[in-house]
Amino acid sequence: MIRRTFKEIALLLALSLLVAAATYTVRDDVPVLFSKNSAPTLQAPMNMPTAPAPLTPEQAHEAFTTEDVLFVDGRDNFDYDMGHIPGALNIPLHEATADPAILAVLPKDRHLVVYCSNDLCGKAQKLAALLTERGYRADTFPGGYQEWTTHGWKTEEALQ
Amino acid sequence: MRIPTALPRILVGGIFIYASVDKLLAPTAFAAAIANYQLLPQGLINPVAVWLPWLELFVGLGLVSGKLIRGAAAIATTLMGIFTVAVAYSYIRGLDINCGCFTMDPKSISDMRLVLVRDIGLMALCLMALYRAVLEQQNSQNKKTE
Repeated sequence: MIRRTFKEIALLLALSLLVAAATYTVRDDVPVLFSKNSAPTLQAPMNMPTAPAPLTPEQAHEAFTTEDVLFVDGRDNFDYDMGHIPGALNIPLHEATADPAILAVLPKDRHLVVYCSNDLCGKAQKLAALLTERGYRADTFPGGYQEWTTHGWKTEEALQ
Repeated sequence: MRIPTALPRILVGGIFIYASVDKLLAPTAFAAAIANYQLLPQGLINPVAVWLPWLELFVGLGLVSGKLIRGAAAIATTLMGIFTVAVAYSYIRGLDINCGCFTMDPKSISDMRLVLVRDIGLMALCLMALYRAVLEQQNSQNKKTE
């Protein structure tokens, strides 16, 4: 009974592999596939004059202590409530893309630093790109909240 | 009695066939979707992007037509398990990516939490299909021995 199941599994795997291999040789759009942009593009294109610059954790912290910057948290409300950089405003990316009008709460005359969870999350880059498109001066802090907490820097919670 | 027993597998099979179509038509977009998960090594992305849609199609066809149903149900359950883990892991890492589940349209809604709930539901359906596939085959074997 179990042997038959395994036989069926093997048959299905082999069959699909065979057809996939056949299409791979026949279709001409397949060989190029993913060779062009081999890494997910997280950075905004560099040729944009106002492209958001990625800040190192030290730069972000220095901006936090010395400059009049406003941190923008691109994560969901839940993550924001669990903890965020002190004074940061929460603009979840999905809300901003659904209704860019909410970006109007951000002041145009201040330097914005957008962050999300860590360097694997693309929200900060996307949100910063959205902001620079609208004439904001926005940079990103790719290390995000995770990097901030590993340095032991001050955080703020909405839920006590 | 026969129809309810076969219902989960036909449903799962239909969903798998539906899911495979867009991937078969747009292998490049699907490869990009896989790469965004940042789980597979570079060398495996293209082979998986070409193979997985066909596997889904054959599994779906098997489940709907009633051929090789135990094997198909087992693969379907395993695949849904892998998809669910991949989506959950990506959500935990805070990735905001296109799921690449049914449509390769980058504008499709990509709330990972919804995708996660859907995947868990589908996996439950797959388990049901697997369980019933075993029952179906046992029944037919019993009939043969009688």
